[in-house]
Amino acid sequence: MKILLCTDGSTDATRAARFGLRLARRGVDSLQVLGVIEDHEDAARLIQNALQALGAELDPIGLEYNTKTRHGHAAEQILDEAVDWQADLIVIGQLGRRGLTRFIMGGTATRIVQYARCSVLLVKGQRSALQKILVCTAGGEPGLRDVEVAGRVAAQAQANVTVLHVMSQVALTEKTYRPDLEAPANDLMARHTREGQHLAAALNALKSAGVSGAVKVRHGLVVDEIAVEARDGDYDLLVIGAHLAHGLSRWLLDDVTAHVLEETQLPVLVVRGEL
Amino acid sequence: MTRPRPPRRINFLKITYALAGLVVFILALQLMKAGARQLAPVVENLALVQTPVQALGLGWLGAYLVLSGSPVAAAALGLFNGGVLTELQTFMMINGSRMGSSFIILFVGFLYMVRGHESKRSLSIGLLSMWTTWTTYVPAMLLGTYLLNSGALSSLHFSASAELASFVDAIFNPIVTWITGWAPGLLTFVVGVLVILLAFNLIDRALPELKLTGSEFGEAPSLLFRPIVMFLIGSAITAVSMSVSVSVSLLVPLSARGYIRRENVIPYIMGANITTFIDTLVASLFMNNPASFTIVLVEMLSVTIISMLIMIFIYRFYERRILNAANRITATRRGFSLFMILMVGVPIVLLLVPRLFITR
Repeated sequence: MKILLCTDGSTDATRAARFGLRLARRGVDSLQVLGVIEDHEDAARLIQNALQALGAELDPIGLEYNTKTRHGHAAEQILDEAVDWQADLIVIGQLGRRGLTRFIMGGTATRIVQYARCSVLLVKGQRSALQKILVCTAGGEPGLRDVEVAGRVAAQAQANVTVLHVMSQVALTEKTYRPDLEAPANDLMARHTREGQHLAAALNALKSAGVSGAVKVRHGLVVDEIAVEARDGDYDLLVIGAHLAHGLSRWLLDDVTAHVLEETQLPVLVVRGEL
Repeated sequence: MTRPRPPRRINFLKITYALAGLVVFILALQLMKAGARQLAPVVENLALVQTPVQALGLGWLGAYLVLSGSPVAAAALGLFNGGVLTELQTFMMINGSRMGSSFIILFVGFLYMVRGHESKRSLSIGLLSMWTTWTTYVPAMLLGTYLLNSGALSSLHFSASAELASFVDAIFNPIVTWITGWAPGLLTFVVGVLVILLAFNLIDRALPELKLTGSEFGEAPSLLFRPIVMFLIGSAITAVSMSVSVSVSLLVPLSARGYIRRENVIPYIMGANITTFIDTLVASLFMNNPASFTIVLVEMLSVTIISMLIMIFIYRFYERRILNAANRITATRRGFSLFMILMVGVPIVLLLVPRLFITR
C-alpha cells in the first residue's frame, strides 16, 4: 500500500500522520510525506520543521519514506500528488489553524474526499489508541467492501468493529407499514430481511478477517444517527464508503459521506475501491 | 426476439373526462360567483366571516368537510368575486384550505390506527406532510399578508381574455340564470360547491394512470436524494396531479416495498405544496377578476420564497425539528389522540372566537 502523509506544518497534521501510520503500519509498501506550502510567510519553515519531526519518528520504525514539498492550494496539490504518485491512501489532519487552511475541515478536506481517486483518512481530534472502529454501511457490495476494509484495519490494530446500518425509511401509507422498519439488528437477521442478510454478510466478513464484531441498526435520519453513534460509542475511528455516484447521479444523490465528515469529531477513513 | 410495442392509442375516454371536467369546473366557478353575490348580505348580517382569522378557520374546516383543499380554495375565489370576502380574507381562506387538507392524510391513518391495524409509526408520512405544510404556510401567510397589503404585486393582473370571458358568459350564463331562478343565493353557492366536487372527480379520472412498478426503478426509491432534487420532483408530480395526497400516493407503486426515506419526504412535500395551487390559479383566471389572480400568485410566491429560504439556509435544522415534532406527537397514544382533537378544535376556535370580540 502506498500512503501519502500530508502536512501543513501544524501539530495537528503531525498527529494525523502518526495516527495514519498506526492504522496501516504493517501494510505499508511505500510512504511519502508531502508538505504543502500555501501563501503565508513562515509556511516553508514550518513545513521543513514538520518534515524533520516526522522523519525523526519514522527513522526508528525502519520505514522507508521520501519527502516532498509542493506550493499552492492545499486540496489541489494533495490531489495532484496523489494521482502522480498513485497513492492508495491519503492521510490528512485538521490543518485548520492559519490562513486558508483554517477552512480545511469544511472546505479542503471535503474537496479532497470528494475528488480523490483513492481512500482518504481524515484525522480529527486526539486519538492515541485504535481499539474501537465504527463502520457505516448502506448495504450492497460497496457496503460489504467497506466492512472488509474495516476488518483488515481492525485485524492489524487488534481492534473491535461495530457495523452500523441506519434505516431512515418510513411507510408511504398505513397499509405499507411493516414492523421491520423499527426492528433491531438481531430481529432483521432472524427474519432474513434485505437489511438482515446484509448485516449477516458483514459479520461473516469480519469473522473471516479474524476480528470480533457486532452489528447495530439505528432508526432516524442517516447522518444524524451516524453522528450520534460515533459520539456516544467512544469509537476511535469511523469507516465509511466514499460517495460513489458519478455522472448525472452525482448531482441527484446526496453526499452522505460529506455530511458525516462535517458532523463527526472522530478520525474518518473514507474508503474508495480496494485498500 | 422482442415484440414491437403496440402503437399508443389516443384515449378518447380520458379526453372526454378532461373536457367534461373543464366545462363542469367553469360552470361551478360561475355558480359560486353568482351564489356569493346573493350570499354577501347574509354573511354580513350574520357576521360569519369578518376577519382574516375567521377566513382561515373557514377554509380549514371546509377542507375537512369536503376532504380536499382545492374545492375550498376555488370557493374562496367565488366568495371574493361575490364581494363576500376581502382580498386578505380570501388569501387566508385559501391558506386554511391547504392546512386543512394536509391533515386529511393523517386523519385517514389515525382511523386506521384506531381500528387496531398498525403501529402509530405508520402515521409518520401524514405527520411529516402536515408539519411541513404548516411550518411553511404559517410564515408564508405573514409574508403574503405583507405583499397583499403593500400592493407590491398588484400590477401583476391577469385574467381570461375578453373574448374568452364573453364566450364563457355566452355558454354558461343561461345555465347559471336557470339555476339561480329556482335556487336562492345560499343554495346556488352550495350547488356550485357540489358541482366543483364533481369537476375535480372528472379531472381525477382524466389524469394519466401511472402503471409503474418498483422493478422499473430498481433501488432508486431507497436512495438518498439531494433535497433540491426531491423538491423539484414533488413540484413536477403535483403540477400534474394537483393534489399533495395524490402525489404522495403516486410514490407507492414506485417504491418496491412502499417505503420512502425520511430525508426524501420533506423536500418532496415542500415542492408539492407550491404546485398544488395550479388549479386555483386556473380558477382565478376564469373568475374574470384580475385581483383573484394576484391573490393566488401571492400565495404561490410566498410559499415558494419561504420554502427556498428553508432549503437554502436552515434545511438540516428544519428537517430535524420536523422529525422531532412528529416523533413527540406519536410518542404516546393518548398524546396523539389529544393532538387529533386539537386539530379539529383549532379551526372551530379560529372561526368562532373572533366573533366574540367583534362589536357590530
